[in-house]
Amino acid sequence: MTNHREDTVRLGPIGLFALVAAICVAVMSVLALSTARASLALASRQSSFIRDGYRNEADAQAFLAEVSETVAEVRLSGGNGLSASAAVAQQTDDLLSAACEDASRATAGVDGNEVSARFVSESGRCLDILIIIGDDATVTVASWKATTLWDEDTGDVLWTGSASVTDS
Amino acid sequence: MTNERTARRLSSKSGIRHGTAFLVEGLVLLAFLVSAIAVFTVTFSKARAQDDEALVLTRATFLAQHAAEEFCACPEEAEGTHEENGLTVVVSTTSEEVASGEGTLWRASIVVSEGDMELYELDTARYVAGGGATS
Repeated sequence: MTNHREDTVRLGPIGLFALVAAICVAVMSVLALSTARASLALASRQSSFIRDGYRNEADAQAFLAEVSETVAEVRLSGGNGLSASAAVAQQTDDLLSAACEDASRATAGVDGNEVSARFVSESGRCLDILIIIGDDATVTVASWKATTLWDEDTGDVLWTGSASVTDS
Repeated sequence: MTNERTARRLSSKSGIRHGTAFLVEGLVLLAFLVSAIAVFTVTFSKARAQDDEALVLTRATFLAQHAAEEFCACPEEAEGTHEENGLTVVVSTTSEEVASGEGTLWRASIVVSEGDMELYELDTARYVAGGGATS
């Protein structure tokens, strides 16, 4: 029996070591692949986010140019700020259509001598601008605010914060 | 005598059997290791390729963003081509006089490429008021 054991060359420990090493490398490779995929997804999301932001910026700048042109025409024809505001209010939709390739993602309105516009992209990038038409029919940018719209996920509420006491 | 011969024969047969088992087990282990290394190599190379792609896209995005900010700061001098970190940034601008000549609407198309491959494209615009408008 002793001779029989001495004669046996066993690969068991080596095989076990190889198996453990293979499992470790497999886990590392899966982690590396998932990390790389996440990095790529993040990079492409960031790039589309930035592209949408500058698209909003381009549309808003073009809208500002259209408003300035309308106001300048009124001023050159002898009008004042009131008539310029009225002219912009009448042509708001046309000005938006001229400024934006896709006017459906932009809204604009005139309140007194204030012209406000909002440009929203599919990714949630949003640009709100406020243009003020002065009494002498000049245009001033009062606000230029880029934000991001997002919906808060309230599906998984663990604790609402309100304490309820029940007597049993 | 007969018993000794029988014992020697049995011992010899057992040795051959063990040698064969070792060989088979070793070959199976080798095959397993080779196939595992092949799979791991493919996985690691895919991960590396995607990581490189993400890195290049991020660099291209930042370069385009920097070029767009430079354009917004000074649209008149933004046009041109420059290279950075092996990437080529091409800024093309157009201008249009608006507001009865009182302002200029500048548009820029920024393309970042690596060799012949286009990586990222960005379009932006800037209205420069000449008189009646301030922004």
